[in-house]
Amino acid sequence: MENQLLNDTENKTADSRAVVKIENLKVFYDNVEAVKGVNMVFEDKKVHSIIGPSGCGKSTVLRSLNLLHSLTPNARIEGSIKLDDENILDQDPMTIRRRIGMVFQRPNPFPHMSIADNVLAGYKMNNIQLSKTESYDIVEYALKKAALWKEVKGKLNKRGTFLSGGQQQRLCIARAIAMGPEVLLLDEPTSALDPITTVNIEELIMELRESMSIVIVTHNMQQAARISDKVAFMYLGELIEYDTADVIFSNPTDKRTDEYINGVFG
Amino acid sequence: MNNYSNKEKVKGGRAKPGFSAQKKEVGNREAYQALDFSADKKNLRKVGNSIFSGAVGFSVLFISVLILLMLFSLFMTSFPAIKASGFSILTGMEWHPESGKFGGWPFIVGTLMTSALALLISLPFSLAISLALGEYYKTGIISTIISSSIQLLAGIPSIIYGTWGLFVIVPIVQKIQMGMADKGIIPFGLSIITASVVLAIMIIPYSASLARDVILQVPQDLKEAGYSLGGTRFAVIRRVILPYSMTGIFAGEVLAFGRALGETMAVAMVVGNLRKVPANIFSPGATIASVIASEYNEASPLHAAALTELGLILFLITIIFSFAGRYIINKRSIK
Ligand SMILES: Nc1ncnc2c1ncn2[C@@H]1O[C@H](COP(=O)(O)OP(=O)(O)OP(=O)(O)O)[C@@H](O)[C@H]1O
Ligand SMILES: [Mg+2]
Repeated sequence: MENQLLNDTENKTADSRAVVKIENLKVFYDNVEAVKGVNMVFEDKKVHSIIGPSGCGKSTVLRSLNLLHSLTPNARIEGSIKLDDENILDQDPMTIRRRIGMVFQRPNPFPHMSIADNVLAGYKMNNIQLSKTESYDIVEYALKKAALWKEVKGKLNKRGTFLSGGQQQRLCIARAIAMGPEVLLLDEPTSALDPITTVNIEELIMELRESMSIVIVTHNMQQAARISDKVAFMYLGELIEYDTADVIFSNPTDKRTDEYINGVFG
Repeated sequence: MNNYSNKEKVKGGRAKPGFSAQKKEVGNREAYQALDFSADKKNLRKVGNSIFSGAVGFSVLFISVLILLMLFSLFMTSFPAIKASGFSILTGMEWHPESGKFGGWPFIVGTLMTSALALLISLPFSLAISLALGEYYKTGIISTIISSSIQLLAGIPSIIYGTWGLFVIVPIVQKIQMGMADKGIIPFGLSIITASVVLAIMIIPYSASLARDVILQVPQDLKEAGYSLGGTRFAVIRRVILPYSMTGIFAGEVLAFGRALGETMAVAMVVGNLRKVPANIFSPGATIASVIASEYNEASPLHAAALTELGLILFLITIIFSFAGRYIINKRSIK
């Protein structure tokens, strides 16, 4: 099982291709349109940032990629989100969520589980039986990828909540990548962390970029500039501009993008 | 959650300049006003604090003394029995007041058996109810209907449960017992299991409402983390919600168990009041509370003292279970 998983992520060919295509995505909360017809493409082995002022719909877009909107009773979704050319909105959320992992703003390891069980939580959630060695391999693989292995290998059976904030967030990343997702979504993953820990997480994201597509929501412009291949600027539910980081930060087409980046509003 | 993060960002200084300056002014004025009266307020607060901590200290002391006094007076009242036969009431198998035999073991067994069985029977129901209220229907008409019926259940007098047990549970148990005639069971319908079923229904409100409260408190982001990993709702309940709220659910069970241990009237009406260690759950039996209730009025002084001693034992059992429960809760609680 995990061998297949390892191969899947490591044997991906070098040329990048579109993995996710968002087409005319509209999300309504009680008939208030929070996302107004967004089109975006996310590619393999690239980091895509979504920036924009508070309330512009960044999280809403990200959460719909993980099909979490179905947990919000007043949310309604239109348009399509294609993963490998199949609309995920018509598919079983459980299957899709295993292929598109999510990391949240506040580090949220399961407080009742050990570090190892946290990493394996996805398998437990899906009732996938693993042998002892399989489990150990997955834990080691995911924690190494999340750059946490060295710090926690001696205390895999301790609870994850005893870790520092940054370690907890890396544990959450490990938990998400243990399932071998093709796309990793991160919603302001460093906003609750100190600057040094933030740099650690950014370095980690750059490493994960080698094997998957990454979509990150951030309020930190420097962060977006440091790590992104492409940057999307959203404003009032609309996608204003979506281009390479260079263009967005040095030569944006839209005046609003320019103003936002230079701190005129926000 | 969204509101919270929005506020934070405004504080972080990315709001429109004009707007934030205005805000600051209001803040200053408030601070100024607070300064004017701060001396008075501080004194008032000090007095308030000391009154409050005094009151808290007093009530803690008062309750502890009250419990000790209760224990003491129970001990004094039961002293004649203790003097006559030591603590053999704890182990004695025979309860025959007419010939001076006061063995309380049958009642201790009866009490623990009915309460434990009641807990076991009520557990699935109270779990289901608490999940329904804490996860599936947090608000709305269904939630209102379920929770008000639960409240109603808690408010029904014991005697009504007893009567209901006699008319509804007893005939059902009788039918089952008839099928067991070859095991020497007489189909009275009054038995340990009858009492346990009635008790189970009586304690559901206690365990369910506590469990509902803790299930409601499971953080939304943990549930979302569960779903984001591909879990079904059932998986999230099983792997996240229930383990997370384990200690709280356990606390509810302890509370319910304590309530079951001491329940008197309803049990006395359906348990059969047989002064023998029950052979199995279909045999009649008696509990400490039921035997005290049914015998105290016509008891000789020594008999009454022995019954009080039984009461003392029940008191101690209740205390032991509540402390053990508290200990486990402290030891196992998350965070
Ligand atoms: N559950 C909900 N019910 C109703 N409205 C909602 C809900 N969630 C979000 N919204 C609204 O949808 C809009 C977009 O919200 P969203 O959380 O996607 O913004 P965001 O860009 O992530 O903001 P932030 O930077 O503050 O995280 C906001 O106006 C918000 O108030
Ligand atoms: Mg957001």
